[in-house]
Amino acid sequence: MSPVPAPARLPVPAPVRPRRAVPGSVPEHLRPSAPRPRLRLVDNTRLEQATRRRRARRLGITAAVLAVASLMALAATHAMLVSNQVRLDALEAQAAQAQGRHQALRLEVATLESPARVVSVATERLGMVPPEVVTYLPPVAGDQGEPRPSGPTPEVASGALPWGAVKPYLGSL
Amino acid sequence: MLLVAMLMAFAGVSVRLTHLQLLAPEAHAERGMAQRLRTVELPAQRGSLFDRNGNELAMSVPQQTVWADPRLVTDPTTTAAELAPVLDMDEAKVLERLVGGDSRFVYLARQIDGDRAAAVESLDLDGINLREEPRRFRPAGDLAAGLLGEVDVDGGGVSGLELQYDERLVGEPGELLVERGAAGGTIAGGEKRLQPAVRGDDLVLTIDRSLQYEVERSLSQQVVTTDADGGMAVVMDPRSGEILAMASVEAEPGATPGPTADNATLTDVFEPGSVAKVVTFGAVAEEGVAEPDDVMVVPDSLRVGPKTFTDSSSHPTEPMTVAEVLGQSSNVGTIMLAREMGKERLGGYLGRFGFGEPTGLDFPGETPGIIPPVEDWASTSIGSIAIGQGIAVNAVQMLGALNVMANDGVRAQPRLVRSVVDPSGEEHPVAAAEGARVVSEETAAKMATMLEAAVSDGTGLNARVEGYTVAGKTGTARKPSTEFRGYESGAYTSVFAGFVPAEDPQLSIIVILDEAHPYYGGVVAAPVFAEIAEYGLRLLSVPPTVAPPTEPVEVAPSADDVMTQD
Repeated sequence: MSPVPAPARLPVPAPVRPRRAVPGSVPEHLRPSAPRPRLRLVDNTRLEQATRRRRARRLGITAAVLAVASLMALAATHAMLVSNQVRLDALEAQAAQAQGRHQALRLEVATLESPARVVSVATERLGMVPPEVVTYLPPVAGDQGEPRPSGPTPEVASGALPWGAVKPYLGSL
Repeated sequence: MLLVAMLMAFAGVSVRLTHLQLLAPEAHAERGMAQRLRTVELPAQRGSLFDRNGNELAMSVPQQTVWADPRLVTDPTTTAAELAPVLDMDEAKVLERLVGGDSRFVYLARQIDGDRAAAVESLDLDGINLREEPRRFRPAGDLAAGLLGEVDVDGGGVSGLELQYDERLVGEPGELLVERGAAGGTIAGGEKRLQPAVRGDDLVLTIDRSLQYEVERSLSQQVVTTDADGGMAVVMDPRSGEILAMASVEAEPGATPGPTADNATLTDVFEPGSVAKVVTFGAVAEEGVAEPDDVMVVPDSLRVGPKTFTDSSSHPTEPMTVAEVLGQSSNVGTIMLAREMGKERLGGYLGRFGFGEPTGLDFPGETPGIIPPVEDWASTSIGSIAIGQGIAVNAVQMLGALNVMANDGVRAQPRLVRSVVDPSGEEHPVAAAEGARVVSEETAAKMATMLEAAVSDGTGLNARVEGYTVAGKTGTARKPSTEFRGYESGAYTSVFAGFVPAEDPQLSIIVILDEAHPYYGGVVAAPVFAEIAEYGLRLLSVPPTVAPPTEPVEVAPSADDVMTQD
């Protein structure tokens, strides 16, 4: 195993003492020296132009990208709008058709329930006849109930729906 | 050269562009909008007419109407040839409409059924279009036709209740303003303004559809049986004044009776004859001229002025109670009582019982009847008017007068509409008008007893209904001639009016037959009353009021049915 060499010491610079000004003497830096070249402005126009061009290019690209993106978004939105409008038209037509169908069915139900049609089916198709005599049953002795007439209840006799069943349909038409 | 052409084209485009964008941009925008904007009329749904149980008696259903834009019809001849058989129209007539005018809208067939509309659509003819229009239907056919009335092809009421309540039924049409493209589709995001149509109100009538059917059936059958010219019948709830059924039928010789075009029970008058004795006796009792048990000596003829009145059958001069005079319908006895009362008082009671004034129903074409003012009465009028001749009333008036006796002396206002249902479906009951007291409760009770006897022991025997007490009065009136002053020979109006059960009236019914054979009201009209009353009492579940005449028997459940299997 080779010995590890000791790190080399770097020379430490001696502290610089400020020179004490000698009374009556001129500081060195104020002493006239050899004439220095005149200062002039560096021409960085080309640099600035290049920077400006870069910025403009960046801006242009960004704007173009944004414009294209906006147009695409607009086109997509419009396409969606048109598509939904077509769907809406179809749905409205479908709703109108369904409503018409509903009303036609209501008419059909009312026609089928009409007394003339019911009597016609009962007598002609089913061979039913009106009773010759209606027999009344007197109440059983001890029964406190009122005597009841023979025959069906009004609902059955008239074949009618209660009003509550009809009413909800009226406002929606 | 090419450069010049390009420059000219460019200049042209520039000029056009300047014109479009700078000089008249609004005009062009408006023109474009006008081309895209379509106004679609939304017809209002006409309200329905319901019976008291919610059954639709009249309703509107959308149908298709075929119309043409003649300018867009490329080949009118071929179009007419293809359309005519589908529309069941004459080809020449279709062609005439397609080429006959300058209009861009011509109706070809209105409110056709769905199958024919589909057939027209499948033809796909240029310039031929379909549009939706509501059409009025009566699901029960001619049931209560005269009462319900008619609507014209544009949906306006022209008669009956359809006319009377037209403003309520018709609703308000709406409008859809929409931007459409060339293909007819809605332009997305375009202008769209919708004013929805408002459906008309629905009317819930007091009529009961089943009872109406039975009334029409019974009446028509009797018209056929008695070879009558026609008939009328009205059924009311005498307490509330609600009209449960009203029918009028007429029969052409050899034809099946059909409903009259108008509601004759309100629009036609008839001389009521003896049934109007209800008014005379009501006045007599109310004025204290006589009591039901008072005995009077009644001959079989009586001279009043230059005229001699007789009873329907000759009889010796005999003592009769006032109740018997009514029960046997003695003309002479009635006139004797009327003379004792005096014409002023009798004339006053005619008005109080509702004769000579509208019923309050405001039905289109309703007649107030014909009642001569007392000051115009001839010397014989006290005799004729007391027995229901020389005056004319409509059927509802006559039944209304009888109802006074069934309603403790109060004349209930007749009603045909129970409630109105607004477009939102909310039902608003129509308040009943206050009744008018005509006679006292005591008088009404006395009259009810006498009228009950008129059925059980008098001329109204055929009006009896098993299990119930019936009060009523027969009438057989001579018919005035339409050609000369006086009565037609051998022409009679047969009437029966009554209420049931007599002690707690639920139904009052009047039946009138025009020139029936035989013609006695008690023979031809009373049985129809009984038939209608029996059905109505069963329909309303009114318990029998008298014990059945037969011994209790066991019956199969099917015996309770209205119809039994043959």
